[in-house]
Amino acid sequence: MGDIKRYIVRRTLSFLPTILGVLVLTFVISHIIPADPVRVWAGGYKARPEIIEEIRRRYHLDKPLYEQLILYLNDVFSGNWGVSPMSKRPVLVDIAEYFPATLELSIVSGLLLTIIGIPMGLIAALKKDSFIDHAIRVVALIGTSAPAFWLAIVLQWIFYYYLGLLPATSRGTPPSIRYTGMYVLDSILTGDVELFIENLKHILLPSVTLAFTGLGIIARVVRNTALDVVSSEFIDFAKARGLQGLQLYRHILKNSLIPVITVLALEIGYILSGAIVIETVFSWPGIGLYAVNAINSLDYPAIMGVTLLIGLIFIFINFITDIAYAVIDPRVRL
Amino acid sequence: MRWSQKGSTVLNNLRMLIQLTNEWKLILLVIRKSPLTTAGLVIVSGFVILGIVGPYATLHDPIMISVTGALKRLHPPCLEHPFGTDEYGRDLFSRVLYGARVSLVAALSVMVIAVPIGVLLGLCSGYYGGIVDEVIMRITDIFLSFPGLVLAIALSASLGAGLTSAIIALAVVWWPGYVRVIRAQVLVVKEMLFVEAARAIGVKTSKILFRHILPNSITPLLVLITFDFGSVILANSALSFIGLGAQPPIPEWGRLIADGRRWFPDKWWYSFFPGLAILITVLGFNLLGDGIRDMMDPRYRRSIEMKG
Repeated sequence: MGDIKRYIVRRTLSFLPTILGVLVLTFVISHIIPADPVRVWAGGYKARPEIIEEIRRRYHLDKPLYEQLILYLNDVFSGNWGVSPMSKRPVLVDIAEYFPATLELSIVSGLLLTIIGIPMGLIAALKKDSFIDHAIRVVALIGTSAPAFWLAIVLQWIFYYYLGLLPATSRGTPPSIRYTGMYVLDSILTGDVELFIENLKHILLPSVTLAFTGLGIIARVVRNTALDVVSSEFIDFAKARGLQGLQLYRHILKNSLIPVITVLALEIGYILSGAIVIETVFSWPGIGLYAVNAINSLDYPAIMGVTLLIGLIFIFINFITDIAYAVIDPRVRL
Repeated sequence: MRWSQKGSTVLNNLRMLIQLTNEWKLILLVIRKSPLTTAGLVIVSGFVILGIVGPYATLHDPIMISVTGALKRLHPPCLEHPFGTDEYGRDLFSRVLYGARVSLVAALSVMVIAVPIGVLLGLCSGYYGGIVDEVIMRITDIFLSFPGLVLAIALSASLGAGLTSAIIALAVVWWPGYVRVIRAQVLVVKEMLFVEAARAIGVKTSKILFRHILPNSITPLLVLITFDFGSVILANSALSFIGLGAQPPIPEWGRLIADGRRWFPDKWWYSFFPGLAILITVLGFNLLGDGIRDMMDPRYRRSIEMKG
């Protein structure tokens, strides 16, 4: 396992420039691209002159660009992500309040995606070129092609308005004790079964919407990987060696893992950007709802804060994925 | 001499004709073997044609609010208004038709900006290698460190809401994919004998890149463009749904869905039909992309040629 440790150190070192690059990119987007950065940071054309002066000083917009960049990096690392003109609070405080809702939604969507997507792909591979294979392909393609926000509205119409089975908006009721800020998990932890069912009902429609839009990619990758692995030479060899049943499946599964992990990491990106758009539809109080409200009220620090947060999460996930590769496949460590 | 020359042209024409009929046979075979690809092709052609002629083919004005229209606000779908009407009495069918043009223009513009940038950088990165490759790929990685839609949202918020800024933002997000695909292809092709031969006889680098290497990378490029056309339409509609892309009174599909949400759930047609238009269009591009990929896959192509 010594070489795993060395690999992690090397990978960490090579990730630092990427993080720096992402911060430079957000700096360019927020400080250089807007025609009038001061006005943008201050909250648009309605901002009063004295506020504009204050903003100019607070975000160091009166300094030369290279100095602005250094001060920006310093601010980001010291947790000063700006103050939202809307809520009048630091952006990081706002994000800390909204983030658990998005995290909860993403986790449930990711679980649904995995539980449904992997069997779908396996069935398609087993029944290759049959009617079921084609049907799965079409269903998956419809999920990939449908706009998530529209799907959300259609599902609301069916399950809330027409059938009256599920609530259309909000997160439900917060449990009496806050452990993680995730309602479903917290209601299990407090042992409140009724509340758990209520909150589960609330999260069902948004998470199904997000999971359905990501289903196509994972089902396809699982199908193709399974077909490739089963027909590959080392499986023939394993069979020739007399391996059967579980032992054989172990070989198949282990060799299918890397593409599946890659696609799952990718899906997290899809789920997060999907959440930004659909949280508005479900009045789901996460960072997506926060960001869309910010867009409509020209709350620029909030928009950039959410962007930066999602970028950093995405980098972190890629980092974890790379390490997972190394653990599964010794060749990666070389 | 003259006769034989003539004879050879006749022969050539004949050969071309045979080749052409073979191509046609192949296309017919594809249609028979893969109805899904054919459906994709029909949808995409329909979308492009509607995008071009749609605004001239509408019975009602998609943008202007008429006096008589006020009498028919939020009318459910009927014969005269197959998709119903909006809160100003405008015909939603005409507005959705016009929306096809907005999506077509947006996606085309994004491709026209993103593809050449990506292809050029990919060619340089793969061909020169070394420090050029390193720099280009690191920059590409930074752009790919964001989920595409999130980066596009931040960019178009900075540029100010509007169709043009949405197009620029989407182009900035979409070029890195082309760098990756072209670079991978160049790495394979540049080791081939004919490229080495061209280099050996002193063909200029630019000519090697564009005459010899690029044409051999066209298949994966075509597949990616087809898929991306769909994804850009989807992303563009998401931008206008949250209020960033095309601004009213331009009837963009995502915007129409957002507008219709105010009348949810009673006036269901308002949000439903624009979304259906997005779904069908994007599905068409995805089906076509799948089909092209299968067709270009030598294993598949051989199997249908042999059966034919």
